[in-house]
Amino acid sequence: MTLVKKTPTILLFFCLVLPCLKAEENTDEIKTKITIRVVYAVKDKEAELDPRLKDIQAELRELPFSSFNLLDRLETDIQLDATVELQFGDKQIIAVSFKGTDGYKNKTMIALQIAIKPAAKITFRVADGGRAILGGPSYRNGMLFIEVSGKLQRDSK
Amino acid sequence: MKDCCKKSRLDAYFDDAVSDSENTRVQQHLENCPTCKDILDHMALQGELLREDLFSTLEKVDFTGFEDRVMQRIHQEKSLSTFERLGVYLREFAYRYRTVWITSVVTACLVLAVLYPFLSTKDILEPPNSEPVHASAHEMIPAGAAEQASTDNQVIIDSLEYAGQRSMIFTVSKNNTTVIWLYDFDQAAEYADEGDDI
Repeated sequence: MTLVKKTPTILLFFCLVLPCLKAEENTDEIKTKITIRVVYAVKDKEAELDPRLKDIQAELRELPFSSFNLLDRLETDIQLDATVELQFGDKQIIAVSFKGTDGYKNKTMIALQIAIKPAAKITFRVADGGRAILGGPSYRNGMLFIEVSGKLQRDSK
Repeated sequence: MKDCCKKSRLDAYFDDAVSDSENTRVQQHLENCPTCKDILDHMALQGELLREDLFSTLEKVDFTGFEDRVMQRIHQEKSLSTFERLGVYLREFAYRYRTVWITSVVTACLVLAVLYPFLSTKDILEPPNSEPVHASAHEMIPAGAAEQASTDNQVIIDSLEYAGQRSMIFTVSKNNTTVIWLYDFDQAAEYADEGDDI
């Protein structure tokens, strides 16, 4: 009888405690999978697309180049405040740092800082699983585009 | 006597459903109360008429083999299928334990309502993975593939430090992919080489 009387209290306790546990779990160490792809783009050439770039063909076809080839690719999981670097082109270096996550319009955004040493440093947030493309460094007869994407990874503890 | 004239008391006496002492008392009263006696006689007459009518009706009905016909009909009834029996069982179960399951459902709804924000966060953290489509080399670029439309590429740029002077930020394709184009990157890199890194 006593237990029956206490049932609402017990339920309320679980209703309050479980979300807190869940929130605590969310603060566990988070990682993000960073993918960097270096694309060599050339104009005035027969249309060509590296099959490994098929997933971003819609983006690439809107750039004023006709041929796209994948020069280099790096995919790695990094922890909060960690940085991954990739050398590309003419000994240039791109460094991508994972700065955390936040919510925006019911979406999880990944905060990244990209430094293309030594000329540019960009801090931005990208939707989980989303990408941004940086362009500018010239290379041989064309230009390099660097696609950076981030996807959150969850540690199952 | 005023109370003996109640119809219910006379009904009980008529049906012989009173105690001996009550029976004696009512009999004594009837000897002195013509009103109650008339009511009792009327009740007896009604009963007699009903019995006569009933017996005359029953004489016309043939009850020969009635029991056999009933039993035969029972055996002819098809037994319930498994699903029908399960349905009956579930209905009875739901009705019998209605307090338990209604409470459980309400509790589950409350718990889900409290946990919903966290469950939906998990959905956000784990969107459906879009596998890249492999194409043959030197393939012409076709229209955007359908799976790309589901990719959310929203970007919010918080800061942009650039040693050059010409840069542009724009979005391309239906996926709203952001392109940050540093036009004079090569010159900017040369300038930057002369000083500190950004």
